[in-house]
Amino acid sequence: MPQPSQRLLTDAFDLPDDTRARLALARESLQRSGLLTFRALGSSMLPAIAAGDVLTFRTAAPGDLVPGRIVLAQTDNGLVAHRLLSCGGSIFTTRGDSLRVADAALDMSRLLGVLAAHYRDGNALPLDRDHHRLLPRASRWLLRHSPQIHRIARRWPRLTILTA
Amino acid sequence: MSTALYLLRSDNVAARQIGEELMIMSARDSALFSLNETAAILWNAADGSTPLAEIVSRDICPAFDIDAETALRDATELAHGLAERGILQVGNQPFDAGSAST
Amino acid sequence: MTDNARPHSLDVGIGGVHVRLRTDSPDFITLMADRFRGFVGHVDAPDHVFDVDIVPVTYAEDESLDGITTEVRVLRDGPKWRLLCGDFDAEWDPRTRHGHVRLHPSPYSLDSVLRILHTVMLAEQGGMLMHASSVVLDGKAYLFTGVSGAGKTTISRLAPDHAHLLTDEMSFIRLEDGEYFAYGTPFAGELATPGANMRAPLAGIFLLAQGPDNRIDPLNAGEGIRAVMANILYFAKDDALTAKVFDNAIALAARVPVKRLTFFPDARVWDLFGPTA
Repeated sequence: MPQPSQRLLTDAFDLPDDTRARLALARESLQRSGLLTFRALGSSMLPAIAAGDVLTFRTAAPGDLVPGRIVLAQTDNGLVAHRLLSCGGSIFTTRGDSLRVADAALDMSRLLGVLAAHYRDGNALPLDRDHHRLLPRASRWLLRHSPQIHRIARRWPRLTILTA
Repeated sequence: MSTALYLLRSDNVAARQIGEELMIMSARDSALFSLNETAAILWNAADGSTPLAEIVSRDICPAFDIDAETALRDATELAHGLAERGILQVGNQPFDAGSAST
Repeated sequence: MTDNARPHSLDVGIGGVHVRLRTDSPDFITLMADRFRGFVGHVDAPDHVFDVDIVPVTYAEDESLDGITTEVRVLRDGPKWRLLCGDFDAEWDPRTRHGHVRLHPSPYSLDSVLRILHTVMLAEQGGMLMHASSVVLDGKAYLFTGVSGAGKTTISRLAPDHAHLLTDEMSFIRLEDGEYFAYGTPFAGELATPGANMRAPLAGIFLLAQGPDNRIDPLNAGEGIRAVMANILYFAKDDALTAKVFDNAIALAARVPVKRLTFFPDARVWDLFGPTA
């Protein structure tokens, strides 16, 4: 059973300087111990994760980054635990289970870890034990990731209509 | 470009015109797309039976300062891009009559 | 409406919709009454009735309640809806307004079932659940939405003392006679307290952003719709209902102003809210 790190990050949003400090601490914790424990906020991962759940993430190993896995991402607003939609090349995308639109794609350097343990009211919850089992029914929509907004632009200059 | 290309709007999407942009919601993969005027012209004309070349010459060239060859090349690339995202189907033959969505 | 096999019941009223839960477990009723406190109370004629069967947690034996699968599936099964997850298996018939749920004995399980059910019910009538906090100030409701960490809970926490918190995380919006109302819900977020059991006309939706100053900026129609769509709570992959959700977002953004609120996290942000917000 992984040992939780020493500090729980509770507020995802506070003074900007404090957020940066917390993020820096989170990264350092992961680098040093390979683990980070985090209290879930919000409801974007309902029903899998409820506000107040305690999540432990570990640094990802090769083969960990399978679509369907819950991962920890560093966004401009702080740390977010969402489900991995896709990763390839230099970017990855995630989405909250209860949201309709995927998160903005992020650089792989912002993927901090994968879910290693999940506690609710002091009880350990099992993790999805077979992500491949998720794939057959989820693959239609999980693997074909889409960033939040596609803007498909093809601009040609308009003709100027001259009238006599 | 020797092979005609036919376009058909996908039927598992919802498209709504909001001001100058055409917003398309795909139920399949929860993607929300925003098409500008040109892409919207292609999408709206994608009835499954009109060749892309005809759509370009009929709807695009008269309105934009662009030659037919360039317009068709760009429109083909755009069509394939929309198809990759699942909101359009492309084929080398007309799609079945009555299968075009509105 | 009585059921001899499930003699214990609890009426939960959220957003003007009353659901009667029937079960054979008095302990579960006690658990639910506590979880939904402020939103329970007997009604003579509930809008929906749900029979609840508690299933022990055995990971291997029950195929649908494996206790492990965390992703939820919301499927249309003919005229009925089916909600499936590792800890619950629910079925609901909107024609008969009757449902049945098998679930693990966890308050979170039923909470999830009710939330998901409300997303479907509301979608059908033009409303929605949104990842947003909502506050009533001077008789008007304001919604605050945005990405995780944008400050939904923070801004609700900074509201003046005379404001009423409807929810710090899960806003309930109903369309009634052409007007949108925000309702309080018991679905608590990190504040871990249920919202006030009240409603108010929805006066504005604000997309949150961090910044050193407090300001409100307009969004164009497309931006407003995207802000709403990105934060609607919705699970079903049904084409028809997805199109309805899309139309609901468009209608909402057309009727209720959607703006960007950039704020510094202290109480002065609420000075922006008044009759002209």
